Amino acid sequence: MRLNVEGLVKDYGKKRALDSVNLTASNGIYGLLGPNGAGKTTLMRILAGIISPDRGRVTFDGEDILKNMEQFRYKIGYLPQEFGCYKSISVEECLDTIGILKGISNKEERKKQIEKILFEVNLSTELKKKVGALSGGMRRRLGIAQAMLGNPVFIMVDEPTAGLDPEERIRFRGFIRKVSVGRIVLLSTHIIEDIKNNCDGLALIKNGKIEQFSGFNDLENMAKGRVWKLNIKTNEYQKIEEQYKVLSTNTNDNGLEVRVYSEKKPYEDAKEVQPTVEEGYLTWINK
Amino acid sequence: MDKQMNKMVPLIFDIKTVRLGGYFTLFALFAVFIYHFKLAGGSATKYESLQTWVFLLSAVGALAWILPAYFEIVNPDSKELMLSLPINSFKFGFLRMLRLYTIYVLFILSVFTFIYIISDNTRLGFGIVEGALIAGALFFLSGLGLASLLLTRQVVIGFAVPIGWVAVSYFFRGGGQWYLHPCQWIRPKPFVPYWKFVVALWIAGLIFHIIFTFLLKRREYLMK
Repeated sequence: MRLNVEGLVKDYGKKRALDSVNLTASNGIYGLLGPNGAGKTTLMRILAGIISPDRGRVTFDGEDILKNMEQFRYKIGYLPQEFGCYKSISVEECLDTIGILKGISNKEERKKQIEKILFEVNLSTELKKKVGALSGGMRRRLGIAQAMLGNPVFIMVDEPTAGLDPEERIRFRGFIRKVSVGRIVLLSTHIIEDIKNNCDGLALIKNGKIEQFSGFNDLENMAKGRVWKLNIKTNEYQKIEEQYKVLSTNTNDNGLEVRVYSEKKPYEDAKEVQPTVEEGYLTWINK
Repeated sequence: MDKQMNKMVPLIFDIKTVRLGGYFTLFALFAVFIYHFKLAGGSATKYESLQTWVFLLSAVGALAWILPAYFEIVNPDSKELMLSLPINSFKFGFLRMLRLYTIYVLFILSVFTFIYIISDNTRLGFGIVEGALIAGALFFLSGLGLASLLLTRQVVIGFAVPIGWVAVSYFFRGGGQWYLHPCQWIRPKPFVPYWKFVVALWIAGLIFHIIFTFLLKRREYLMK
């Protein structure tokens, strides 16, 4: 399976939300990382057929999906940032209805799929519970369950871990990994942790412009030669912070170990260190 | 690409999504009946008053019965998912509305038939034309409500516009509303034949339902 996005442009009035976006993806999880307002949700909505681009082409296995969106919607699983539909009915009824809307006409087949998916997302015991009574984490899991209904070939999840506690986040990443088998999963987030140890590919987006990276090393290398480690006394911190962009701090026996971002060596005793993904991301965002 | 189609949402699901609005209508009708039979005593206009109250309640009830089925399309926390699904606007919109509307109208007309049967029928006019007028008024109001709901993407407006229209129709006897006077049966404009209102209400209702079905297709507009 192969998704190809070519020259996608979307304007909202005078604001260009997407500026000639190109992206390719094949089976696996692809992270779409960028700050709030970068254009992630706009791209997701175009790929989900909710809004139309002003220009550009999207193909899936060579077929132009923008021209055939009515049919391609059956092959998409989408979990938007906000998921709170059908709060007055049970989990089972909610999935059954969405299953019908996704074209699973056979009742038995629907039931089978719902049971299997609920087991996978660990919601089997909540079958009869009202959607409105689920916790935030359970609701996100229900969200991914509905996205998996109908066996979609392309799943998109927008900011899936926003508002989840650390345990739920870890569990959620596991679900995403499980569902990615034999599919393309596009995961949009502004949380680096979500994609760092979980994605097969990565694209960064800022002000509607996108850059795809072949791996996390490429992103880390963006900051190579610009991340320095310093050992300072606690009372020197304010001075350092005024002069440099402080990336992280760690307390040690002698004071503080500080990682700073600087184009040049900031101090004589500063040591160049291997950048992390976060530091690479910060370099890309600020370039 | 293999062509796929989805089925209609089950009726039981729609009935569950009606929530409190539907129960409120039934409860209000029950209360109106209790009032007229137990508390109004032997008033000479008892049945006319009952007829008027039931009609006004049925107008509000039509909105409470039909509109909630489409709240998910306009609610900010659910619309994005709904709009990403392969919804067929004719099935999901018009046919689904028609199913809910038919059940509701049959129920309301049987309530009016019941009132007619138990009343001294010399006072109340209720026949095929009156039935078509009531059904037309409810069709028009549901269309107006649904079109307003999607046009403004506001649940409150979906209720307020048709209720406001009924209020003008009732209090001003359809003044300024041309033949689109849903309360013609209980507050008739004099010297105008009923059939003109029947035709006007059904045609206008259909136009509003077409607008509603058309808007259901405008995903980008609904997403705003």
